[in-house]
Formats: sequence, C-alpha cells, structure tokens
Amino acid sequence: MLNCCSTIKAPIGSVPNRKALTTDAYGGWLEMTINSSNDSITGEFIAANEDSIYIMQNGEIQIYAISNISFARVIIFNNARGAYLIWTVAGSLLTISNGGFFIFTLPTVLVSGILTTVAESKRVNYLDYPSNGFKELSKYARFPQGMPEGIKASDLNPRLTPKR
Amino acid sequence: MSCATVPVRRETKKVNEIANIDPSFKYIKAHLLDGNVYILYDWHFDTTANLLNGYGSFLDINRNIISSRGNVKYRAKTYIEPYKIDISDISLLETNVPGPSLAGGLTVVTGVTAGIGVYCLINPKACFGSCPTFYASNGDTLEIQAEGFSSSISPSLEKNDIDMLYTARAKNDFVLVVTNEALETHSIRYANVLVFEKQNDERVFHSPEGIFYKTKGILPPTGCHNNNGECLAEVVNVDRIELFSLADPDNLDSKEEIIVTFEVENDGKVGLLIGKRQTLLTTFLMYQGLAYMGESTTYWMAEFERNKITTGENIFGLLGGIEVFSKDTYGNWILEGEINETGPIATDFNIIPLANNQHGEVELKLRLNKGLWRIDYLGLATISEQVAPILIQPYQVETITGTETFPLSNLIENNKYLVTYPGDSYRIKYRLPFENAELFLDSQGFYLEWIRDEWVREQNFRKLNLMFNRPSQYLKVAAPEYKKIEPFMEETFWNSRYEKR
Repeated sequence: MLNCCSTIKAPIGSVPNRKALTTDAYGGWLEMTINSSNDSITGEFIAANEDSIYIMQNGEIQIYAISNISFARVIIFNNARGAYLIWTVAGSLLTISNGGFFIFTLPTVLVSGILTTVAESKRVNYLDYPSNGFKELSKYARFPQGMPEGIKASDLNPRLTPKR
Repeated sequence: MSCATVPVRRETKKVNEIANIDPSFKYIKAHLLDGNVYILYDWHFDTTANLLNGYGSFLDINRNIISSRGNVKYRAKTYIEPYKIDISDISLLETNVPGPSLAGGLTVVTGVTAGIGVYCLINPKACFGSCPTFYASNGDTLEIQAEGFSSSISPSLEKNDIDMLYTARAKNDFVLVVTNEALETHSIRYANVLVFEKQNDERVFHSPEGIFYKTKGILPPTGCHNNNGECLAEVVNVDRIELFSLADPDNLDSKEEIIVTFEVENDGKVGLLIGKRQTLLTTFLMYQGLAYMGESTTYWMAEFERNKITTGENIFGLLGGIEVFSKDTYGNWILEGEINETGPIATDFNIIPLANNQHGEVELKLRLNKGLWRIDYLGLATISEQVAPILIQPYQVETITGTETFPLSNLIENNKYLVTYPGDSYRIKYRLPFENAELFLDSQGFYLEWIRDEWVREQNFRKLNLMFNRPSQYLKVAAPEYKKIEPFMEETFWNSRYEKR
C-alpha cells in the first residue's frame, strides 16, 4: 500500500506526472540508505531480484544487496501543486471580469483552488521499504519482472531528462 | 489515518493471469522476457491464438521507441494491423490506475462559476437535472438518445427503464456514452441494449405495457389541431420542432386536447406513434419539493425510504400522461391507452396499438396536461407482429472522466452499480449481432439530487405537507411561481449542463 499522507518531490524530469504513469516505462526515483556506511543513494529504480536491487546512479548501474539496505523509498510521480497554485491565482484574478458576481465567484475560486492545491500537495506519491517489501516496490521499477537475463549493465542508459 | 486522495495503484500480473485483467483498462504494458516493453491501447486478449493484440508502441530496454502502430481506422481507409504478441514472449503485464484528477474539481468550479453559477443563481430550479444521459452516434455525430430511469430519485424507487434509441446507427461495434451532467449522484445497476433485426423500412416500437411491435408503412398525419389552432407542422416530422403549450396560470393541473387525423388506405392493425418528452414542470416540482424539505431533506428522504411517509394522491399521477382516444362506431371517444414517461431531456418514442382495425379517415384524440409535454412526432404505423428482443450486455467500459476502477464489472455483476458524479462520462461498448437493427436501451438504477444552498433557504414544511397530501390544492398555489420562470426554463436548463472542462 502507498503510504500516507504527503507528497515527496523527486528531481524534475526523473519521474512522470501522475497521468503519464500509464504510458511511462521508466522506473521510479529510488532513495536508499545503506546499512554499513549510512550512505544515501539515489537514482532510477531499474529492477529488484530476490536478494539485490539495481539502481541507475549517475548514469551507471549499481547493485546493492537488499540485506544491506536499511531504508528505501521509491517516488512514483511528481504532483501538480505548483500548476494548481498558478491556476488558483490566475482564476481569482479572472473573477474581476464577472462584474457584480465577483462577490460570489472570487470566494468560490479561492476556496476551491486552495483546497485543491492542499489536497494535491497531500497526494501520496511514494512507497517505502521496509514498511513494504521490495516485491511491492519493484512494480515501479523499469523492469518490474526483475532484471532480464542477457542484459549487461553497460547496455542500459539513464532516463532522458529535460535540460535545466 | 486516511489518505487525502485516492492513491495511485499499479498492478502487475503474470502472463497466466491475463484472463483476470479487467479489459476496461485503457492501457496495458506487456513487459517481455528480454526487457523490451509494449505499451498498448485498444487491446484485447485472443484466447484462441494466445495472442495479446493492441495498438501502441514497442520500446527497447532504454525505452527508445522501436515502432508504433496507431489505430486510425476511424480516420483513414487504410487498415493498420495491431501488434500481435505471443504470450510466451511476455514476462509480466502491468496496469495502472492513476487516481482521480483534482484539476477536474478546479476546472469544474471555474466552469461552474463562469456558466451555471450565473444561471442557477437566477433560476435555481431550472438547472439541468434528471438522471443518466445516454448518447449514441447517428452516423454523423453523437446525439442524445435516452435518459435512464428519470423517476427513480431514491434507492427505493429504483426501477428499470426502456428507451428507444431512435436515431442511433446500429453497427457491430456499438458504443453508448453515458454522462452525468447534473448535480446528482447516479447509480446505474445495468445498461443493456435490446436488439431487433429489421428489414428495409421496418421499425420496432414499444408500448407502455412493455410489448414490442414490428411495424412498417408509417403514415404521417393529415391534420392536427388544438386550442391554439393548427399544429400539423410541429408533429409531422422528427425534427425537434415540438408542439407544446404553456401551463395554466391558475392551476398547473389543467388538461388540453389535440385532435389528429390520418388517411388509412389499407385495412389492418395500426398503432399511434408518439415521440415526446416532458417540459420542465416535473423538474420544477421535484426541485421545489426538495427545497421545501430544506435542511431536513435527509430526514424526509430517510422516512420515505422506510415507508414512513404515506401520501394521498400522487402529484405526478395527478398531472398524468398522454391519453389516446379513438372513436367507436357511434362517435364516442374510447380510451386506447396512456403513455407516461418522466424526463425532459431525450425524446422517447412509443406506440399505442389501437384495439380495432382502422380504415379511411381516422381521427384520434390526445388528452394531456397543459404545459407538461413537448410532442415532436405523431404517426400511424401498420403493425406486423409482436417481437422479442435479443439482450446484449456491454463487453467493455472505458472511462472518459470518472473515478470508477472497474466500471464494466459494476455494470454487469449483480448487486453492483456504476456510480457517477457530476461531469463523469463513460464509453460503453457492445457487440451487436445485426447491423440493420432497431435498438433500445434497457437501464436500471436510481439517482440522488444534490441539495443546493439556494433551495435550503426555502424550507417550508407547511407547503411540503400541502404538496404531498393535497396536491390538487398545491398545483393551484404553485402556479403563479412556476409561471414566472416557465418562459425561461428550457433555455436555462440546457445552458446549465454540468461539464468538466
């Protein structure tokens, strides 16, 4: 189950927006803490096998033993809070054009906009380990079936992200 | 602790579970053993050949597109073969429920603010309402064909409703679009299509008793008049030019008559065809009743559900339907039947079979409540035979806008409902056995009105009591108020449809 109850943000371009989940075929954004070193590792979630996970870190595939991972979080999508905020502000300004109905429409747009933005900011967009097993997390990997046989680490490229 | 919104859900299934995947998912991903992936839409599983067929894209392990195939069969004459994937190549199948869009709420509010807000502030009882609306293609465009179970305004009033899909173009892959365009919650138990094969100019109509008649040789009327004069032009064609009158200013329960004549050359069994819908009088009365209940609406509705409210004569029964009379050999008017179907949205067509064979000039009388009906069409059809339909259930339901996860199973399984909210719409697909066919919608369910703030301010139990227990008196009392908004209701109603933008 997805955890409750607020949104965590992944780097821009590293995960799709929510609607594109149905057609996006990359893995989610994985953040993990390693037991032995307490290092924090981030990158695209490539695959999980029974005892190890594959992560695309700085353009290269890294493999970690699950037994050595104390915490992991896969972020599935980024929310649209910013867009809703802009929408609310713009919509509120537009109510000036409503003439006398402004007294009805401004509060309506403001209240609904704020509620929508707050609700969006609370939309759950991640899954944690160990509260969930890697079997559940792996649904959000590039290869949910596990690392396919015959694929070498060097064959894999990172997700194309927009230039910033 | 509960989550703020419905969460995203991704399901993965092994290939041997493919038959368990809900076909209503718009997209499916087929992850192959070698790491490549297909992202498919318009997909289906061919159980005979063990192939997953569909259109979409084929991506490599780095998610570069290797090839794409679009389903352009509706736009181009060239047929493009879908992908056909041998299931032995598939490792895992993936479906996603991305959860509801909150933007819908914001856009709806913006739309409402801009559109229906203004209309409904002025005329709150004229806002679009009444039950699920069904659209189908007439060959060129989607057209309103039917409204389901309009009189089922609470769970205990759930009932089925049969509506002719008069202008729907039958084809093997037949699609109905159902929408919720009002501030209502619709619970649809089923929406099946009744199919009759027909030849040439044959048509099938159903009577108020639920009997289907195959007809041919429909005669147009040669004359029509009522208290306002000639009315032939309004009723001779199915053209949305309707015959209607305004309600009586002193009493909403007031009847009028229409005399219609036909020239019948061949002796035989005939039936009067009536294409009609209601005006917004019943909508006004229903909304007014809810307004009188005010803040206690839930209490009253609960009492009603528990059968604790008993009324005398029913206000809608008092208004009545359209009664059809023919003349006997002595010139006396004899009641042939009555049509009564609630709903102001879609024109519905029925047949009233006449008891005796008719020949020569046939004069019929229609008796109806003033200001209650809009008649688009009258005709006299020769009845060939009684016929029975083939019932077709939907095989796929696609979500256009809506939150139902399994809309198909909710429509076809017992004790489940497809529940829709304002602005929702679903595409329901059927496989029809004939392309030259008459189609009817057989739907069942109920709906709940959302109480508007403007209504609550009118809470008045005394008038509620009058409406329920002395409806004859109430229809006189309410007449002046209805007459104030009657001229604008139709336009206001259609301009206040609730759409997600």
